[in-house]
Amino acid sequence: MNLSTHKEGSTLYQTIKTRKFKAMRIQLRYFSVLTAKDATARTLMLSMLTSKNKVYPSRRLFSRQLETMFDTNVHARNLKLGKKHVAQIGIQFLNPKYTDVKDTFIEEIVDQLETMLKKPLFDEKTLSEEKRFLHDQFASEYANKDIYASRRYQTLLFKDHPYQVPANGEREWIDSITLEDIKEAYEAMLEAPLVVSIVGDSDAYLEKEVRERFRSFSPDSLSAFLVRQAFPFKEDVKETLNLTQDRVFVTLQSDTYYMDEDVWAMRVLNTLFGGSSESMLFESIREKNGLAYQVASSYQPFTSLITVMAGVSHENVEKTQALIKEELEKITQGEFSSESLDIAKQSLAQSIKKSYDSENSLAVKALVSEIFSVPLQKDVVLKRLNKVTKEDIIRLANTLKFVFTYVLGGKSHD
Amino acid sequence: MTKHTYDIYDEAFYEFDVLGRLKVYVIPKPGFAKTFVSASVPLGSVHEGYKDPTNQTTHVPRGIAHFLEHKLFEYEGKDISKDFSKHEASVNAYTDHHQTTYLFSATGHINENILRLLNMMYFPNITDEGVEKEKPIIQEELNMHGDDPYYLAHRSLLKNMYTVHPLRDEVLGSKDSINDMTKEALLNMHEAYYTPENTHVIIVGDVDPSAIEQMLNASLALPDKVFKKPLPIKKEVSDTVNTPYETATFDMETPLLMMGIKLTRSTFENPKPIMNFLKYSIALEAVFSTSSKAYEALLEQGIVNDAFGVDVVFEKSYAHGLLFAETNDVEALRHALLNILKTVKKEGISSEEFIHIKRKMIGHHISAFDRLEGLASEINDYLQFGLYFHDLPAMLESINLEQVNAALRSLDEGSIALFSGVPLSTKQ
Repeated sequence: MNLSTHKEGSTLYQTIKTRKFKAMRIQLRYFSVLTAKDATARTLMLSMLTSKNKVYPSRRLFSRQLETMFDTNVHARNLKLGKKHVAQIGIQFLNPKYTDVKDTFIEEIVDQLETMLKKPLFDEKTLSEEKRFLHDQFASEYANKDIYASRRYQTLLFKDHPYQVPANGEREWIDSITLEDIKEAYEAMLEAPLVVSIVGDSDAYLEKEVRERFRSFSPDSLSAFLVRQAFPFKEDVKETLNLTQDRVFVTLQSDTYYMDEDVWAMRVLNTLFGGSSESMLFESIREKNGLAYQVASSYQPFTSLITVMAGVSHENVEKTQALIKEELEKITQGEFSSESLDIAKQSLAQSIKKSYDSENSLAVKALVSEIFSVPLQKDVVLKRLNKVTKEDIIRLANTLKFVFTYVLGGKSHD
Repeated sequence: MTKHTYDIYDEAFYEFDVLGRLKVYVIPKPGFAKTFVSASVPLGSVHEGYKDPTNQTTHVPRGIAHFLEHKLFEYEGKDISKDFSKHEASVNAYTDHHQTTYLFSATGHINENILRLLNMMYFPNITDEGVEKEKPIIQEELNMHGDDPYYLAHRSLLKNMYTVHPLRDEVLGSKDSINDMTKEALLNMHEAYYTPENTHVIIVGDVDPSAIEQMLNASLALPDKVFKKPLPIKKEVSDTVNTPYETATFDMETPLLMMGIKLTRSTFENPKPIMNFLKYSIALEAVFSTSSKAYEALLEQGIVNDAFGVDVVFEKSYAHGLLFAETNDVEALRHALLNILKTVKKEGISSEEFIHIKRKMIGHHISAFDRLEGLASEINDYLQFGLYFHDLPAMLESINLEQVNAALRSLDEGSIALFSGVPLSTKQ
């Protein structure tokens, strides 16, 4: 695998050249900080880009064209990276050598991406359809109680925090978005700093075409993503909903962030605690006590938070919370074996190695490596992981504080 | 060892037998960091029991395949997953209607982990205590699905389509059947179904097929041949559905509509069922994909959104098409879908639609080689029918437009079932 990087003004071009995939991918990522209304407008705008354009003015025609190009896939979505909203627009396609149009395929692919980006069709009819779709997407989150519970938890947790605006905006803004807002969102996106990545068996021709056709007009370069802001203790929230299984979210603040020296130790701690099926929470809550089918913890380096999530019967909620505290207490006292620490490190090492097998993951790694000056090479990353000691884990466990608990379920909690 | 080469897309795979009993398929993928291994046995939720050497039939509690899958991870009271983790592997398993699959992905100790997986599968260590301990865990897994309207709607649709076939039953079983599980039932089912002759092992990664063959022949222990036999799967007698339409309320905001199209027994009880699978896949994709005229018309009417999709499910004992949609007008969509099917039965699909769907399927097929887990799963699905996933382009090439239109003409109104889920607040 070969990474090459090139900067032109506020545009960063990254090419990850590898022959192991049959598909290739070009992605454009625009970075901004948005309000809830702007994020909602941008989400609608991105959906409009992928549905139709001035060359293919109907959904059917555009879909049909892409399918005929050996199931070429386009996407445009809004993501979050720290406090930044990232408009990600991409195209995934077969390596031309596997098609019957080898000589012209790359040209056609870049044409499609350019058309999508530069010849949008913003009209009232499409906006009205996309608003309906976005309303329905938010509505369908309610049907999936895991997603709904997670959404409620995030909304309560991030209230008044710089990260509070979700990637897709908020439902209450949808109806008020006008065509003018859509056009403004589009112009604003094109003026944001841009990262362009190509992953696959690319050649000089493709790289040249991409550089010539896609660039940002922003005067700014990529700036800070991360906000170090402690989460103050919040009172527990319990919301009633008639569920067959309560969803429990327990939050811990760690004060270890993405670029900190201790970030790898914190990842290991999380894996040991609840980040795998060999973790202490899994062992205690599921295997020993039979309280849950799903229980896990996740660590977010951008917020420094560790969240434990479990699905348990209503009558077992308090016992589950007690067991979570008990397992953390064990770690603070060093009551875990070297074997379990090794297993946690092995599990993380595996994830790291496997992530180099995904085109999308490679593009994200290259981006993050550039922005945060963190190593990309697998061996360097693994060395940092291997250096983590039991003492590091105990020390960091003693910095964790419980800050918030959210429970959804039960007919009554009292 | 036999090597199969596909120069057209730079792929090859190897197949060999181990100790004359176990079939292994190795797909080398140079440059990939992980190796993915799966091993499937044909025991799923549709299997209801076993026969002993005297031909006596014994029926077992529902959900036994899934329960057994859980229990094989325990050895002498300990979780075997830890042994995989200590050797750079993460292991998992899943049970569906027709089979149970055990799998791991690993970045090292490949040989050792393959032996560990097969050993775990063939030599169970199930105890009464272990069985009792597992019951509440599986009950919670069942509870998790109890809050999911899409899952519940799909289950209801299957019951309305199939009158007798055990596809009607939940893969996990029921609260009662889980409680009825015993060590004896688990071990007896294990003996009848977990045999090397029944297993497909698939290995995908940067590996040396010859070295793996040598290692397995030298080191793998296999269980003795057994005398209990699987019970034949209960056959669905009728080609029509038992309940053409049902509606139910769920705690949700946007109504949903699912349509099942039951395919006749002649489509899957056939020397070449995969060819029928492909014909129906092309047909339904052409009619209902998001690039179809039908979907465009439904969007124009404002009765569907972008949560809309169609799939064809094919197994040895059943086959059906499945469509899912969210809608704010269930009745209008229900009638529209039935009219669309009536129309395409008469008119068929065009040559242009046929060609473009085939190109889409070929593109999708070739891209599948980049995702090792998905690739192993596809290869396994085709092996159930004695075919190779790698041969898909040639199979597609041999299908013509008239065959696809004949498949559409064969669809009968009596074989269609619809199920709608509406919000609790909706008046009936």
